Amino acid sequence: MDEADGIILITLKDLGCEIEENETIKNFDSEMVYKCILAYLRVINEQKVINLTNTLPKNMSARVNACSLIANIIKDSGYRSELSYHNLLYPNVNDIRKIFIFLGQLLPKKEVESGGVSIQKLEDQICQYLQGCVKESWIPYFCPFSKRIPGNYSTATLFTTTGGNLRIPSRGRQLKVTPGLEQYYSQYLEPLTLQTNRFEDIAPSVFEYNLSIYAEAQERDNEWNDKGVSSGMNPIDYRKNKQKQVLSKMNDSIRQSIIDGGNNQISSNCNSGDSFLDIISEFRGNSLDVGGQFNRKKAFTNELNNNNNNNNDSTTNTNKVETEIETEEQRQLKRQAEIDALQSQIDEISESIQLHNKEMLDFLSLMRQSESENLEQDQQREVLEKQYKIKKKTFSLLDDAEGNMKELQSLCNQTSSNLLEMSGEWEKVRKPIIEKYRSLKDKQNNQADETKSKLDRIKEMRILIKKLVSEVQQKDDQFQQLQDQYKQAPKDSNRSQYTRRILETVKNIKKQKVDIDKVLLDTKNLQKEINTITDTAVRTFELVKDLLYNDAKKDQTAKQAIKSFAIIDDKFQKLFKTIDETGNFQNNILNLNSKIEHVSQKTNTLNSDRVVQDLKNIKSENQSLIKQIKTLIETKN
Amino acid sequence: MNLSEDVLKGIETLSDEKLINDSVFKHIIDTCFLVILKKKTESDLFDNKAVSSVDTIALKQTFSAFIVFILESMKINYDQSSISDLLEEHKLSSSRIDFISNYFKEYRVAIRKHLSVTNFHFPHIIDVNWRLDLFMKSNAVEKLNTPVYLINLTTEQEENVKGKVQFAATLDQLQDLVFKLRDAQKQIERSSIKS
Repeated sequence: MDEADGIILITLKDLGCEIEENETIKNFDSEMVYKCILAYLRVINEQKVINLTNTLPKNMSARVNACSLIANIIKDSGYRSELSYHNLLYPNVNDIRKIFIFLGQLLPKKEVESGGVSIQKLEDQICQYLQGCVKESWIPYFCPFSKRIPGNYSTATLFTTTGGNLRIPSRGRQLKVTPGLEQYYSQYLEPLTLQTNRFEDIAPSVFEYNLSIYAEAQERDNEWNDKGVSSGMNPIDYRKNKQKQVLSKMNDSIRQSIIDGGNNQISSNCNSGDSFLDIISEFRGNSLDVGGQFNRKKAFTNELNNNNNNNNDSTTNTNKVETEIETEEQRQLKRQAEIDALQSQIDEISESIQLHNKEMLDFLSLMRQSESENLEQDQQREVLEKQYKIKKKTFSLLDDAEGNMKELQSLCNQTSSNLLEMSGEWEKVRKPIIEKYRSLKDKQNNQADETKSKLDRIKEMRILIKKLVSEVQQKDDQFQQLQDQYKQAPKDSNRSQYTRRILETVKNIKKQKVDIDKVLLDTKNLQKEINTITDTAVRTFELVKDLLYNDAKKDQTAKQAIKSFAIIDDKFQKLFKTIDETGNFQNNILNLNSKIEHVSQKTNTLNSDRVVQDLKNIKSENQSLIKQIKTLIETKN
Repeated sequence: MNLSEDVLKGIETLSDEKLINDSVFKHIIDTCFLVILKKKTESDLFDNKAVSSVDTIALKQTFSAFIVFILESMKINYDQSSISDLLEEHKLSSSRIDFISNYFKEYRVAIRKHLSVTNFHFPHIIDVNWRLDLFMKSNAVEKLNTPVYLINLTTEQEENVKGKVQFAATLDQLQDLVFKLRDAQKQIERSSIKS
């Protein structure tokens, strides 16, 4: 039964009854039952329930009447159980549940077209409201509210909405961008309920404000969904673009209106002369007002009376049959004649209208020509006025020609002298200005040269930068290659040994270098000694030759000494050669000896190995022989 | 229910418990409901010492937004569970939602009655006086002899407040007025019939 009650409650909510959450049918009282049944019946059969009030009346007799009426309506609809007013005034749960189920079955099925349903519902509400308005009569303000329509007219108040001016403050980006807004919000802005002129204006102003902002936001979203997405921009750019377009259109319209306004001024000047006539014609029109509805109705009634009179005239004829036939024919002829006459009038009027239009066009063209001629003549008049003034002055001066000529000459002299003075002053003023100009121009040229030189420097620096960059890149490449090689190189355990050997060889090389340096020093010293000795020998030889030659001229023994001396010299030369050869041979001998030693060492090592092997063989043979001997000894014993 | 963005933002500000603590929250809610029913004034909230520590802009924002929320929800007679769901969507805590729900239960009928009185209506005519004059001649026309009716309508604008509408009309204009009134009445009767 709870499920059935749930369904009933759902339908009651759909029908518009105000039911709280935890309320069930068991808790319904008579007033609630009355309301719910009335809601059902308004949907099922509304005409019969029009006269009933929305709530249960207070008088018992009125209650009995209303409930009995409702009971009869339900019985007429086909309810078979017993039902009368007391079932509704003093409700029972089971009976009420039956009634609700029965009425639920009678509800019309929902139409598929929901839109049509909503529109019809709205129209029905409007019709109902207007019916109530028509039937209601005026009640003074001190009478209670009418129960049919909420809110009596006498107490209704004329309000003015200020929705456009309402403002709800909020902290955000706008508050920081706009200067002074924060102070306005915190110190001067009233709360919402004081922003309207009167208290009664709060609710409608709030509704207008909320709805306008919501509608604006919805329109913005719809436009973005339709046009913005297809434009391919993001929302911010789209909004900016739209603002630009709107501003450009506004500017164009304002510019166009200014031009039109200028034209309108001319036309308004033309029309200003007719305003008085318009006023007079309006005054006449007011006094002789023909276009009112009453007058039109009056004329219509007069025409009807005329037609009636015509009909009366036709009936007065004696011969009814003949006269009827004749009158019909006559009527047709009259109608055709009238139509022809009216058609001719229309044609004449249309022709006159065309003629008037042509005349209008001609007048317009004449107006334009006359305006242009007026402009030309105005210009000519100005020129002629100037000429007239000049001639007038000249004629006035002709009376006293000579005196005027002298005055003119004096004036010319004065002006020429003034011009000279002015020219001098101008030169005084002109020189510093020209000097400034030249200095500034020179500065400018210098600056230009400086800029050129700086640009050249910049170019050179850029070239250098490029070179350095390329060099850096090359070095980076080399570094990377070396790193790759280092990574690819094998990392064995023998590496440390090789490094040690290399270091040892390096040390040995250093030591050998030291020894070599010493040897070289010794050789140098020896070479020096040899050179000194040879030099002294050569000098002594020459001295001796000189002495001998000087003595040879005197003594014969000296001659022999010279010859022997030469022979000695030759022999010593031979000695030198042989000594050198012996030295070479000794060196060769030493080299050969060293080689021999090396080779002998090798052979000795080899021989020693053989000897050792031979010794081992001998020992083994000895042992075997010893054994043989022992065995022989044992056999002898 | 359709609510504008700044109203929803104000309600979210109302849910910020650091900015608005519970006592200030209760003051705001109480003042909103009672200001609508003319039982309190705005100075009871904005001149209260308990609220002086709160940011003025936030206080005005929350007050204004919640007033709009109350009026819009009572306009369409929004039910209690829907109100709770909407407030929960905007991050109000359950205790605050319960507090607000109790106020809606208590003052729902009174607020709807107050809104039902607010109605768009022109002043209601309660009395008519008229006078007939004869317009004999003027500056431009020597002889006219036209009757002119001077009509004075007494209207009721508010409770115990009356207004006047005065105008002059010729016979034809007056007949036109009568015809227009009859046409209006017929139009209302025609539109009140169900199709």
